[in-house]
Amino acid sequence: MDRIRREGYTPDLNFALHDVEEETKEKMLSVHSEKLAIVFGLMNSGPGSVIRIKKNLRVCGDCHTATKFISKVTEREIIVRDALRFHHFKEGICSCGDYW
Amino acid sequence: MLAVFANSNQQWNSTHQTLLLLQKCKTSNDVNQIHARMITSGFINNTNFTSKVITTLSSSPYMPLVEFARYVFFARHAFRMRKKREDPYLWNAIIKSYSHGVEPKQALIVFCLMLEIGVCVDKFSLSLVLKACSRVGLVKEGMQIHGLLRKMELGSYLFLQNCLIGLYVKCGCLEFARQFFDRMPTRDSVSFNSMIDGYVKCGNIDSARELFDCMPTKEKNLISWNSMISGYAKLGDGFESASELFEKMPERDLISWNSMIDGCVKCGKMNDAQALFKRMPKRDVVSWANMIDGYAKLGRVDLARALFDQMPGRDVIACNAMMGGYVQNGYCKEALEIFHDMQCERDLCPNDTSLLIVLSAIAQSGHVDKGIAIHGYLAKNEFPLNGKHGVALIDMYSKCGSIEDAISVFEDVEGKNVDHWNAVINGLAIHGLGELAFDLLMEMERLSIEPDDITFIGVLHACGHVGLVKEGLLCFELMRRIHKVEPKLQHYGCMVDILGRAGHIEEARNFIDDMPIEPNDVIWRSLLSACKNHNNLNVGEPVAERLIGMDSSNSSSYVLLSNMFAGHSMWNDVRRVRVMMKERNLKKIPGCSWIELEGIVHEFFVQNKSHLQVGEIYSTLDNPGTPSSLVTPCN
Repeated sequence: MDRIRREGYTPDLNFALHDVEEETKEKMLSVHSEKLAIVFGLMNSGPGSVIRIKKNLRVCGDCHTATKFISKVTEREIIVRDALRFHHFKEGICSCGDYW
Repeated sequence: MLAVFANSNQQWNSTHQTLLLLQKCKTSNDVNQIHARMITSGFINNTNFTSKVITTLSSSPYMPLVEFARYVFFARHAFRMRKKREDPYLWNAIIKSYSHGVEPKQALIVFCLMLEIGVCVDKFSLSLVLKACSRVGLVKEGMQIHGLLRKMELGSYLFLQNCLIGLYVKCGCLEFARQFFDRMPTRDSVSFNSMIDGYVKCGNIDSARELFDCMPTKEKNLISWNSMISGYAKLGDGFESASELFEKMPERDLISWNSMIDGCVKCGKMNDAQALFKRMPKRDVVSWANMIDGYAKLGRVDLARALFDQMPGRDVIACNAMMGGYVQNGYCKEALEIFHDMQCERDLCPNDTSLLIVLSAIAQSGHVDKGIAIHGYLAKNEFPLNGKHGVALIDMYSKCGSIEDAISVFEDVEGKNVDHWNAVINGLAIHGLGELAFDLLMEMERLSIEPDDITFIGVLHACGHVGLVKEGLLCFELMRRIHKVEPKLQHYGCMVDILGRAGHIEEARNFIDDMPIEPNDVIWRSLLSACKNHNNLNVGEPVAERLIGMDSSNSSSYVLLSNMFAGHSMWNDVRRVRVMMKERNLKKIPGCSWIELEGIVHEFFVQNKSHLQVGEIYSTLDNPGTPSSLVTPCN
């Protein structure tokens, strides 16, 4: 997480839609299911392999941004299939062009 | 079999033996060997023998034998000198091999040749060629034959009249068939049943019933009752009539019981279906498959599976029903397991339908490796991809994330139909390749391939995902004005989505107001979603209230409303909505992600704490100090 922060990632707290402290909001965002799955995937697969995630809802803006950074920092391709479409994250960019 | 030739005690001077050997052949290689023998022995010149060859082999289930019969006929019999009024039984055998086989149209061509050469046709030739015409829908040619029939004064034969009714009914000319039927001096059960069946198949159950009721009792048979029952059973509201007839019928057979069960299944009356299933004196695969399918349609995969497990002697149809049931209800893993079991069991060979269902399961689950394996199987067994299998493959690759493979399959298909185009356009849509999808629509226009309503849904979706508002509007107009396709709710929904996502909230709202048909909740929810994304509370709040009014049990409307309030930091309103949800016992669908590694699917819910490696995962997310853990290869 620190690495992606260094690259410029700041958690977009607007996506934590609860009336709580900022720090708590950050923590809540950090445990969205996509992030959990991506980290698990990174931990358990070899470098260069593609990580494929499936999500039952639309990917939230913060996870989308974070995943872009993660893909850049770890040099891995991450493909997320959400309820509506695919997002191919590679080298810090998403195939949806941030329009989803 | 052919090792028998080595034995020198074989009676080679016997045509009888040769004929017996011929009948044992299965491949063209076998046939060629016997043919060679026929030439060297001179039997090929024996017209008695060759006649027997033709009549015996023309009805064989093995194509090489049928083709040999045809070859012998055309080489040895068709064009020789003949007596006047000779019995055309050999011509009839050849015509029958076509009219009852795989190329019915050829029967007509052989018949025309008969007439051209001047061979005397008889009533059997006519009945066979009429059957061929009815199989392919050649009504004009059939009418010419009808004319010929009248000229030959054969019009009084009842069985020929029945062939004519069969022809007109199968070609959809019901009124014409009925006129002919009414003019018949005598009719039998075949005449009545053909008319009834024709009416039932085109949905005119009332005319069918009228005929059925005035049918003389001695002509009414099981086929008549079964046609009526299955006709009523297929209608949504015909169940009562079907039951009434079912209880009244003098005797029943398997088809009667299966039709009733099918009717129950269509109405969702599984209890009635179950009662019938228990009462049935005998069951066949269709009965079990219908029941399994019925439970699956109601979402009761557990009951469907229980039946499947109980079934004595499962076959492909039942397996397909179970697999299909699983896929309908989202249980892709279980569907794939059934397919795997089918492949392992010796007498259960997956058929075309099995492959379609399994491709659908793979598309849902995203297991692209399994999809590649099925593709390999299709290629190895030379399945043509210009039909449903090609479409299913394109769809599978698209939904598994391999759009390049989907496009590659699409490009390789020879003789694409509109479904192939639809599948690839849809694939492009979900991959955000909107411009390409739109280009494909233009390509379809150039190639004069008529798009259908699904094509337009795909293109509109594609535009929506990439924000191509202009192209979306163009596509909508193209659909309405040029192709005269009446937009359905889904098309309107897509347009609202395109406008909404691009931030044109007012236009989207106006679009809904201008709709000629009543918008449904999906359309309103698209607008609400767009309002939430662009923080437009003015339009959004009344839409949300309206949605909640329409269906107070759908949690997503409440969630969107509360998120909109949260976006404006209107915490009191957020609390109010959440309390409303709690009072109505509604829960937000929790976010869930899946990842497959080494064949195992791992599931993660938001704030999940149940996974084995949860400690490590959370520590990586919280603790900034161990960056190397992110790039360590797996153990």
